[in-house]
Amino acid sequence: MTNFQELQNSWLSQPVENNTIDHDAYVVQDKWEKHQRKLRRSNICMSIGFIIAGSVITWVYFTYHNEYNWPFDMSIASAFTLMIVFAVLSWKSYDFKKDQRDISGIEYLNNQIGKLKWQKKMLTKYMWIYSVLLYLALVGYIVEITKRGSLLFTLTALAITTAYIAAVSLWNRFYKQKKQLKTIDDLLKGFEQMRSGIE
Amino acid sequence: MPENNRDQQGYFNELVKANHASIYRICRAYLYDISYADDLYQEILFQIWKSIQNFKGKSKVSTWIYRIAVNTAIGFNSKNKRHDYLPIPDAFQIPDIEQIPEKMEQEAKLEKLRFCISQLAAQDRIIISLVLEQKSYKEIAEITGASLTNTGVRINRIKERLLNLMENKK
Repeated sequence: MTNFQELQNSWLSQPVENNTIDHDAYVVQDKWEKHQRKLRRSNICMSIGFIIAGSVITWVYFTYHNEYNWPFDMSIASAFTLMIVFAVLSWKSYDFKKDQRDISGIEYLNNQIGKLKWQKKMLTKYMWIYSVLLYLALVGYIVEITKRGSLLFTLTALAITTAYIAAVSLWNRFYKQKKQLKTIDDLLKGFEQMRSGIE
Repeated sequence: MPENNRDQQGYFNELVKANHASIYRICRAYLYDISYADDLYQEILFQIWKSIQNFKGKSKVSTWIYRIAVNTAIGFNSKNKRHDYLPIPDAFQIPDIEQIPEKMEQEAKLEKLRFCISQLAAQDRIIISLVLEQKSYKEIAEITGASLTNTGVRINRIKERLLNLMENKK
């Protein structure tokens, strides 16, 4: 006859394996999850912004395209394409896979490292290309729609646009992106250390 | 609660040192397969680490840890259906305790107990693991959120079922 007390004693006397605790892995994983949440929020806001801007651009195009020549069409098409391409590239940095327990550790880490490297490239390279191309599209648009006005009017519009784009790009590069790049670099370092520990 | 990362690591170390055996046994009670139990153990430690900043001290540290362990186990099973209990093939026989050397008797008994626990429903496995950890009815009710009366009734029913399984009764 078995009594419960015996079972309890037997249960409590069982050997417990000394599982290792890797704090660094927890810290990195926690940071990664927070970073992913931030990225998702920012991508959603950006996509909503692009949808609104795209709707306005479409409305402008269909309302005024008869009044202007090809630079007008070209600048609007470029801005539209740039927004779509940029949104697709930004979402490419987001990790949609939620449960990755089935894949090997190295494969899992390679995926995170790949996503982070892509994010870094987006911030340091593609953001600039996007800004320059968007600026050129805006220059084409401004020149075309102000051609009936004075030269001074055109130059003023160009100067304001240039100053705005330059200010936003510089603020992004030296303030906003600095923090983002630091987070990405920390995460990359953590994941790469973990990967070298497994390899 | 410790503010900086280093203090948090120290605090986390202390918590794990004091509770790792209980957490590990809960995992073993909840998941029969040892490799899945190891995964769950790591997941629970990760969740404790993540939640350490939010611990306000409203409940006992041990209650807080057990709550995280229980909730993680529930979530782990619902996220990973394949980790749920898999029936053991009929060919698998529990060793006959009387036919093996005495020194292996304890391990064989334990294996039988693990097997019998694995026959219980998922939520019963959680409760019995807390009972086996010598938690009081009141603590178990606090951890699970059930009423004290219901917890008592339920524990008695689970104990009875477990003892029947150990006696090879259905």
